[in-house]
Amino acid sequence: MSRKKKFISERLKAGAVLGAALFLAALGYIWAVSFKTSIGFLPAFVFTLGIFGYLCVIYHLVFKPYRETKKIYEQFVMGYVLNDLFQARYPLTPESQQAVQKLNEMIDRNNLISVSKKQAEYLALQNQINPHFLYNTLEGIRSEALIAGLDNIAEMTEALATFFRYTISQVEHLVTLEDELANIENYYYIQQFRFGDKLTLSIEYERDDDDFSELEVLRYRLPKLTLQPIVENSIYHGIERKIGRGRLVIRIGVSNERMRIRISDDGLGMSEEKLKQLNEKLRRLSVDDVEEQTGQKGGIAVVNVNNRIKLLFGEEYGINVYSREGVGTDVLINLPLVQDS
Amino acid sequence: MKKELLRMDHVSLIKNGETFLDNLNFQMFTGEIMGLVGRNNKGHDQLIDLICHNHNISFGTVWYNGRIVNSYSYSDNSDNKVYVIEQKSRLVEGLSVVDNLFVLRKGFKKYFINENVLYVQARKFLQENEIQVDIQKRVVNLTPLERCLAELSKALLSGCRLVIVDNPGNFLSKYELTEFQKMLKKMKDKGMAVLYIGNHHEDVFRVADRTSLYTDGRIDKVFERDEMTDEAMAPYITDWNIKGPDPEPESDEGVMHFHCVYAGNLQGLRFVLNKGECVTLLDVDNRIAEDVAGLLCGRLTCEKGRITLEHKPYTPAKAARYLDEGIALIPKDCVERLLFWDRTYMENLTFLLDRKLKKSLMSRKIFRSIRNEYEPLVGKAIHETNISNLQFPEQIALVYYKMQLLHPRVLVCIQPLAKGDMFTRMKILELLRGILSQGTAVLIITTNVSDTLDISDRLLIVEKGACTASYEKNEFNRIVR
Repeated sequence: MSRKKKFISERLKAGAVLGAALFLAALGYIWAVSFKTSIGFLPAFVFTLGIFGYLCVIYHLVFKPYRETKKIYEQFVMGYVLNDLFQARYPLTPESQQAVQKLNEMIDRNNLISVSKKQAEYLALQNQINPHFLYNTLEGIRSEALIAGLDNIAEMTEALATFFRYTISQVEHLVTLEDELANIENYYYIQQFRFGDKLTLSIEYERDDDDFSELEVLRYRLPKLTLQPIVENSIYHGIERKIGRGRLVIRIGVSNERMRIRISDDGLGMSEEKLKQLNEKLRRLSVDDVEEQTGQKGGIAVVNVNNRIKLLFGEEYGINVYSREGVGTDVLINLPLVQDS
Repeated sequence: MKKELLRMDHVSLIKNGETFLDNLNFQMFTGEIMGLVGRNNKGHDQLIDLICHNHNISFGTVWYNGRIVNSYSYSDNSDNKVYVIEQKSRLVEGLSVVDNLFVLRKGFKKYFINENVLYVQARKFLQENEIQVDIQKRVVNLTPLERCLAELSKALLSGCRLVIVDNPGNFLSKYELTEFQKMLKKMKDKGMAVLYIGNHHEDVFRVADRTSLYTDGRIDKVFERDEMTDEAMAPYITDWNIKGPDPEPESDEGVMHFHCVYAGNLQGLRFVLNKGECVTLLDVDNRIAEDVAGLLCGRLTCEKGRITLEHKPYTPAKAARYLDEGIALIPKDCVERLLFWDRTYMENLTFLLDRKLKKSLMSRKIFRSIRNEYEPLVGKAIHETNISNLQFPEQIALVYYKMQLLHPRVLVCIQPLAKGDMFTRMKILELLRGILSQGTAVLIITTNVSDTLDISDRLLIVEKGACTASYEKNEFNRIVR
């Protein structure tokens, strides 16, 4: 049996073609009889009308829904959608629907999100560090620095300890934008010891409306460590290797349904080919990316954050990247408006 | 809080293996003017079509007014409430404005129409929206600005919350464009969303709240309000802004003179065109192009004043055989009007060359020589037997190569950059530079100077049919583009 013929859909198609041929033959026969005998054209006409009506019904009730479901399966296989598979309007059979739902239950989303978050932590820390040992050591360094009158070192150590505490110790998935931005400012403070005034960071809000409230915006929630990996990426891949000063801008805008956060840098940017590949990855929700690429750095941070957002909120949210070599990169994050954790 | 009106999420459109929209992400809010500047035109028509109608897409999802209206899995071919204002009018030309607004509206079911009631309603509606159009005028008699305002009124009346304005700089004069942009801003304040598409970022930046830069069916960059500057745009246009040295005008003698010419809309137009010089006439009222072309091609005669070519009177008899006199004209829609679709590339390229060579038949040797000369410039397209298979920039280039071969004394180009994307415009400017370097004098008549200034030696402002100002090349920086 050929590979194609083993599928029931192919057999149904063959059956439909055969059925259509039989209908046409019957149609031809009835018209031929109508011409040859004196029964008139009315029966043939009614029969033809009936057949076309029947085909119309089949087209709308069977063919179109089948095509829609088939497209969803195709997109799922290509990795573009996940939720659509579980929410298909026209399942093939009750059993196939149950099978798909079973698969949905088997995919442990929480586990995926945790793996993804761990990966973010890993990328942020670049190493597996025992947190308690780290806090104790940092606290020790800070105390020694204060005793010796080295305020700068004490402040830097405090910033580092705060950063690690936020990154490792807070276990919840969603944090407020205020917390995320505080972590970014802390991270920027640490980076300033290295980059000095080569790196500047500004946080801006789109204040298009009269009823804009910064406090309200800061209360919206987003997955923990959404911004930091992207800011880190912008610094290391965009600004660090750039000659001259670099500027990072975080711009936050809110509409009735979404929060948009754009992280822009005026660093090296990326080539068109690389950008295309990255955006193609960002379009998909790939479980593989979460599990397999833990050893890689760079673009994976963005892909990882994107996967986490899509897993938590759905495929309509996530990240898009705009970049041009020698000009800079904009990473645009789309999130739903969430106020409760 | 801003309200999202349109959202295109990872939309791709692939037809017959060709990608028109490529992972496109795009969103618009109510009460904003979103600019869209195309570096090329690929996918431009398909994007407009997809915003207006929910046709099949290959990937992605489209939201309109808060609900999914189109997705890769299901497209119902329904229409979104979107109105497009473009070069081609959507009004019925033979009817009055009021008939177009009310009678031809969807849902208008009256069999007996009380005109007085319609007029009262129309006046009230236009007054409320501060739109000034003579509602009794037939559409055919409207100025381009009035036509646009009538279409805007129609969009408002039909309940369209999104209006797409497609390259208005191509059909509105500079003054009209400014007025129209003012009106769009008023509509924006009333909550309407406007997608303002333009090839010139200067025009778009003037009116838009945000601007998306678009290439090959995807968004390259979204410029926020404070980022809409020439400096921010510059890195994205350097690719096509590389230009060769501008050819210097060869003499001040003047190849062609317009001596205080009165004809049609021309009211004492005077200027001189030198050999190898490029002069741009900025047609502020958008009314002289046809008259200048008509005078040079013999369709119109001077009522007063005179035209001289090489210091000899350019009489109507000479104008009737203008090509033999060394005048060539590239009209606005040059591809449609100057190319023969049932002829090969080479036949198009060499058309009329026999007249120049004064031979009834052109030898194969000359034909081969031209082909060998142009093949490195044109590429494989030179062997094309069906020129409709060529890309639009290649078709445009064919027109200009043809002019290069004819080597006229004066080449008149009417709105040469009106059609085509940024890359096509770059190509046209490059070809015009080539023609100028041959010593041909080039006269550009345009309603939008933005890019033409790059090759122009002088700019003349023409208002009400006469020159009102003249700028030399070193003064161009004084002009607000």
